[in-house]
Amino acid sequence: MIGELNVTNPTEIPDFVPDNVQLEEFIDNMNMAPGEAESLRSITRLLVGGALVGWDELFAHLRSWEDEINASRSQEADVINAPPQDPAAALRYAMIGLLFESQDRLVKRSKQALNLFWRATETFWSPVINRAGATRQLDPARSRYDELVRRGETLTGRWVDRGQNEEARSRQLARTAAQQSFDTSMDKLGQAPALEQLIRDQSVGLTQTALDEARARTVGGDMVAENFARSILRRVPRRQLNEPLPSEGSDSESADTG
Amino acid sequence: MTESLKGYYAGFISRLLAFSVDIIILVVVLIFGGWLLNTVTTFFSLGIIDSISPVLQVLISTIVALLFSAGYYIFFWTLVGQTPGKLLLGLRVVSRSGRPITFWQALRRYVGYYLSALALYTGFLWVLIDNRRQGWHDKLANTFVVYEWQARPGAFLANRMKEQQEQDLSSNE
Repeated sequence: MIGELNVTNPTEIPDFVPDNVQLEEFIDNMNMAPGEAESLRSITRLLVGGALVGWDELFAHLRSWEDEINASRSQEADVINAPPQDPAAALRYAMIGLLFESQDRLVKRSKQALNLFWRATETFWSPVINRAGATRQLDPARSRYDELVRRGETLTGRWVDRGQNEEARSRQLARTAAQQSFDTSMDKLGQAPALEQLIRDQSVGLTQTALDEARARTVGGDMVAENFARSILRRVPRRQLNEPLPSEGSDSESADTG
Repeated sequence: MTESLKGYYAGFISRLLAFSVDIIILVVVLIFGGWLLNTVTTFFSLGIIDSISPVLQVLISTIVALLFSAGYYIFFWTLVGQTPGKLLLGLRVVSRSGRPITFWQALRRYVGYYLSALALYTGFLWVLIDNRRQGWHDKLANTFVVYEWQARPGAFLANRMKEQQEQDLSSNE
């Protein structure tokens, strides 16, 4: 197989690398450094895997969003179905409606056109092909054609095998790359002093707010408990607290210095 | 009443919660300390604890716990003006002048705790009815517990109190 590969342009990479070709041998023919070829292949895998995983994720999200909207839409059906009063809005709705209608029709018509094409082809070409198949003069051409089909099938089969393997590997690579990129980004963010400061400030602010809220409740509790005790003892409920003590550092000295 | 209550006498619930926090801290530290001591003596095969009779063990443990709790309260009251529990609830123990209490005041206050507790905790409950919100231990040491933070009651209670004050004013008129 190596002998069949006549690589004229060393930078040109063929569509596939046959299974029975060793990477080193193939690279020797390509005049590429081993690392370079492997990197190129990894990039292709990353692109393919990224596209596949991204598509899967997008599709899954779209489906869940659609379900969510459908669920909420049933409640708002009356509002949505109200005819538009504004002409500009009506025009806009018409354009959007046209876009979706066109898309649906295009899909439907494409199917119809394809069916029509195959039926016409069958009707027109089947007699010709059947007659040609029976003609002995065309035997060499037919055998060449069969050989071509066989080679094509072999080639396609190999592509399928390789595609299957590469898809799994590409998905794995894309997931690993995404996870590691995320981890690295988080690490970088975590080390950013500005962000660290911001988080610290917010945490302190949040803690202080929670603490103040809890303290405010205990202050309320003080008053409620006091009035409850006073009501049990049939005392007049306290409406105002006694005057506070002088703050620290005032001139008056303690009456009790111990 | 919606203005800050900073410097005003602190009420029963705040003080009870602060006291509970301090008790939890003391219990945790004492349990951990006891466990550590036991582990160390067992590890080095000192056999000190085993050689002491169980009654004496309880007696020594009680004395150590009392001394430790006395040290804890007196240290924080005199040097900081607030124990960790009071710090959490935004309270401070002060003398009549508003300054931190002295060592002897702190000692009297600590002894006062036991007196307040001995009378079926009436000494603590006295905070509920006293005009300056003093317990017996406060009266004994001539100390006060005040709000250290910009204390405000919750919005609901503040409105309720305002309504009551307005009712009082209108009834007086």
